[in-house]
Amino acid sequence: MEKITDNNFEEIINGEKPVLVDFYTDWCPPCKMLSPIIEEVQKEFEDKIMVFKMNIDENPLTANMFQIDRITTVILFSKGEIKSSFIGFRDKEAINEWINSTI
Amino acid sequence: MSGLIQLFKMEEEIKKLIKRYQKYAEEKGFKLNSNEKVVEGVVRALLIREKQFGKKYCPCRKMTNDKKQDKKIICPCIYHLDEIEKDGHCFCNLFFKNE
Repeated sequence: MEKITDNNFEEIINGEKPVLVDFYTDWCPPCKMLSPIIEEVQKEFEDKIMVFKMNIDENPLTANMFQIDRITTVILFSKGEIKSSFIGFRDKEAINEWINSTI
Repeated sequence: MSGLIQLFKMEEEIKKLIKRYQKYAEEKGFKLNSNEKVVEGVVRALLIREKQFGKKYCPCRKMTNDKKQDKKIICPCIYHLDEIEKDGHCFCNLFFKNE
């Protein structure tokens, strides 16, 4: 899965397609559990949304901008604006339902 | 210290800390996650944070670098009792409510 950084964040979330960003860190157990699910979600929704990961230790500016204090946090953006978000681990079914009801 | 000895020491520390949290959970009337891999992952991450930052800061919360603020997220954090009550488990999935 492609990584997004503080440098290209604005440009990417302002694209035509909705953008899902998984904010994670390398040492957070729920992030590790969620990561393979997000990869599956990316394949299933590849024609509808773009999916990226952002390591908040390496990209503190964006994490601070969205006041991310718990990890993992997942945000779905559309044309630069937050459409919806969730915090913590969710299974694939719940994430699919969340995306379908948001986009 | 050789890598192998360090690794062995870390595994010993993980076991000890799991026992400590298990005892704490029992005393409080809840339990550890039945998924041992998750428990080990959280405890390992706590020990790594302790080595890096001096305290067992929750690996599922962002540190602010403000010691007073970050004290709130030293495991068991100030939020875990409310989270267990409300969600059935703490945010990091270490402690679970007894069914």
